[in-house]
Amino acid sequence: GIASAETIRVSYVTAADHPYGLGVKKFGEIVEAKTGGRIRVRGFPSGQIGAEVPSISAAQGGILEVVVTSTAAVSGVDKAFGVFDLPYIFESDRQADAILDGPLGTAMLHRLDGKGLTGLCFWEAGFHQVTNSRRPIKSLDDLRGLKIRTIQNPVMIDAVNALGANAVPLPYTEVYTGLETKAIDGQTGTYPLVYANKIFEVQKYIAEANLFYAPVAVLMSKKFYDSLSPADQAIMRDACTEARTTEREANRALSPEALKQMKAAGLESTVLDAATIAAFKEKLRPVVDKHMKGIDPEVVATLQAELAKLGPSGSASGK
Amino acid sequence: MTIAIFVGSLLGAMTIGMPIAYALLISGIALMLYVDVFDAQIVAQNVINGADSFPLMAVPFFMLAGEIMNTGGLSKRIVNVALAAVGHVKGGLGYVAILAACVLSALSGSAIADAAALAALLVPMMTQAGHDKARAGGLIAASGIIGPIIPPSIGFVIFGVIANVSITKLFLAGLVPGLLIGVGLAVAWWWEVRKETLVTPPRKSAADLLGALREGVWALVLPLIIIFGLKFGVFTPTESAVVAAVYSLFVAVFVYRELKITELYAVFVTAAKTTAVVMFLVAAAIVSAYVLTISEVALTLVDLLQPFMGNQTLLLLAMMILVVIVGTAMDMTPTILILTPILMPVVKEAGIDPVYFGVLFIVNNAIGLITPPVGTVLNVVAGVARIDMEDLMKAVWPFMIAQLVVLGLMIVFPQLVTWPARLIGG
Amino acid sequence: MTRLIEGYFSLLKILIAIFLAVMVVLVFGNVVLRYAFDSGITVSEELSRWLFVWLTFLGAIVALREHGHLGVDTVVKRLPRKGKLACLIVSQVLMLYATVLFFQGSWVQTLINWQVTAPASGASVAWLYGVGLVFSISTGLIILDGLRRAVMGDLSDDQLVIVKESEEQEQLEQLQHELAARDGRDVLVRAEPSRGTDR
Ligand code: NA
Ligand code: NA
Repeated sequence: GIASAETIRVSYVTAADHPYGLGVKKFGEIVEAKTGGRIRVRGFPSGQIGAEVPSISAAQGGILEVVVTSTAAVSGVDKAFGVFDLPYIFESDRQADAILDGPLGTAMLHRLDGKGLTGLCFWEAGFHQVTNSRRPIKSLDDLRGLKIRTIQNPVMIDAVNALGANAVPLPYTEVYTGLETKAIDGQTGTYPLVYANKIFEVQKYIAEANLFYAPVAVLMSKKFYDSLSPADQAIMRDACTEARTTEREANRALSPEALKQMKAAGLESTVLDAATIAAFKEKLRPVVDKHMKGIDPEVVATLQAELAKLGPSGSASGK
Repeated sequence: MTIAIFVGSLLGAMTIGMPIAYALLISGIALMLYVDVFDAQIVAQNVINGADSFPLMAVPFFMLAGEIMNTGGLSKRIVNVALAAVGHVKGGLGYVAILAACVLSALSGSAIADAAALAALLVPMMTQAGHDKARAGGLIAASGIIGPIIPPSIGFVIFGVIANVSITKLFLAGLVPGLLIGVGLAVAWWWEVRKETLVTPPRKSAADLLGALREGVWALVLPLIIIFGLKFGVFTPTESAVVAAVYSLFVAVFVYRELKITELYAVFVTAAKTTAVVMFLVAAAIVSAYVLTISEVALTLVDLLQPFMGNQTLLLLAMMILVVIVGTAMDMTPTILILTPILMPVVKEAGIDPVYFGVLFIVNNAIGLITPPVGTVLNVVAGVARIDMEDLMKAVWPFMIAQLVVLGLMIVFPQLVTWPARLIGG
Repeated sequence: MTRLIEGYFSLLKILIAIFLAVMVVLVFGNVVLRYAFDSGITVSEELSRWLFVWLTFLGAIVALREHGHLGVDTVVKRLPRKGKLACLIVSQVLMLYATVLFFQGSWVQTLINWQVTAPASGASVAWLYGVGLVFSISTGLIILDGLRRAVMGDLSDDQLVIVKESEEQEQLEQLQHELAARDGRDVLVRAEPSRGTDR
């Protein structure tokens, strides 16, 4: 056969030259080096072998070894992952890293043990900004009435509606066309994704709102993980952690570069000031409170304790 | 070798009379065994998720719209308008068929529905006017295949989903090539009937033409709604399909009053059954597409076609000849499903515009609908108009050649497709 | 027993017609809401997709029973009866094998997704994979019955070919039926050029 048992297939939905892809490449290099080539890693970009939700299901069933997925897609498997969908949970890269790489992150990954998945570590998609084709967004009022695409996620829908815009849940495949044809006015996305998916070609304005922080979970099929020797298991975890640095650095370096390129292509950019962000948070408080109720209280308590321990952070640098 | 296993098991299973959908499952299973990834979950996961797609929901909605238009009298009124407009010139009924086919194409997503409606309405009239019956049937079969070229088109939807190409862009790019095929057919028809002795019906009075237009306007505005709706982003392709279905339902029930509420159930069941057949095929094809993807067979194929990579025209020609050959033996949907995952990596590697390729590919697939031995549209026309299949096969040749010439022109002069596509699609 | 079976297939047809109608309402409703009220039905996309999946597989069960799936009969129809029978039996054994695999895979995935919730509706994703169980049990029985009859020699010659070459042969047959029912009257009216429009 061609794909021996020693091949790790990694499914992810972005293009190969996106930070996820660079992370997967790095992960593969480390695994192949440390196992002396006993184990190969092959990435499948662009959802070639499945979208996020079916890929998670495939990993649970043992027909896929690794899935790199947004935590939003994991919340179907464990509702507690919905905590990362809440707006303004993290305010800076530093804060996000400290919590995802710390005790809470480890505890979250362990929650998946009983679901046929082994969580290796967290990477990132980054902070979500707001794009649209109508007007520059400088204050809360500017969002009023805009038709903003969200994923089909009750938290995000409620959040966008609470800000006075109209959330339009649309499948991702319809977004570019929807924006191009002005069926919808805008969407939220990270700088690298707005750039890579050419969303900026069909939008006029981008506002740095840092509305959500999207972590990315690297999940291995538990069946496959359990079949490895303890030494190989350690290699997997180490490789994920090392590749994490590569992935996050690439993502954070790409953000300002992507913005620069998009501005050069005519996209107008605004940055929300502290007062506006405070107004956003005020509007979003009921949404956060409502959806916190559906999440395991232990997770919420740990998160709040850890955030308090970190203390007030500086302004977000997740551009 | 991987490709040989895939094609061998697929053809083998099809030859012994297995439904193509099951033959695709069997070839997927054979591939799983060969590539050593055998697991029942791969079958279930890919088949079920293969049907779970919002863009593909355009398929049932276009099927439904087509059903309603034929049952509800919309197709008939379009033919009447064309008849009043060009029925009186020499061989005019042929031009009526081509014109009506173009308009019907802009309403429906499938060649078969269009050809069936035109054959039922026009073949009896054409024979009465003195045309050779088989020749009339041949023209109508060839006109019917404009259906999947001019938007909306189920072929473009399936190709767009599998190849990950914007369906809206494909739709808008198909408009002019569809009309060019129509022009090609008109030339071939003029050549064919120049020696026939015909009874030409008298020119219609302006009042008759107005009357036909007034009746037909309800049906005629639908293409405009769809094309402008897509162009100016009122809706996505899937939504344009549902709008077409709801609009034709409204016109059929409340304006023309030809579709009784009691007939609705039958219309929905037929559309749902046809959808299930097409979609089960699409879903089954995903299994082998998945195994082909993880076996990286595409890379070998790209290597194989490397000598052609330097010359896009030659490469396109080679690919189009392949499609013609496969198209003789297979229907449109399976051909798209089987060839798209194999050809797209080559298209990307060679730097060919995927929208341009998509148009050529679908035009070619549409022509496959009138090439024997498996020419679905030929079967439909022969059945509806009661023409002997062998006579029809002989009569369709000149029209098929005209279409292949137009396809050839589009390969040699890509601007024929890309220029209007940019103009319309933006 | 026969009545039970007929009832089951009538139920499937009613269900697929209803599913299609609901899909139309959901997707069209979303377009209307977007323009008229700047809003949408949250579950519209997810629910309509799931109905679409169920429509596909329930409709495919009906099509299998009615020999409505696409295929190529060029070779088979030229074979003598014995050859046709052999091809049919081999086909059905292989189809049964694919169906068993489909069942096993759907079973595992249904169990895995029992507790998994869909993003918009919150419904269990087992509803999605469950269609695989309904499909494979129903079609498995249809194929087994076909095999039994093939082995018992209980099939007429044209029952030995189980595929159609055209996607819409069914529609074609219906159309011919309609034309016959109208007694040619309507066709003649429409075919009369001098009358123009006929209503
Ligand atoms: Na069309
Ligand atoms: Na053909």
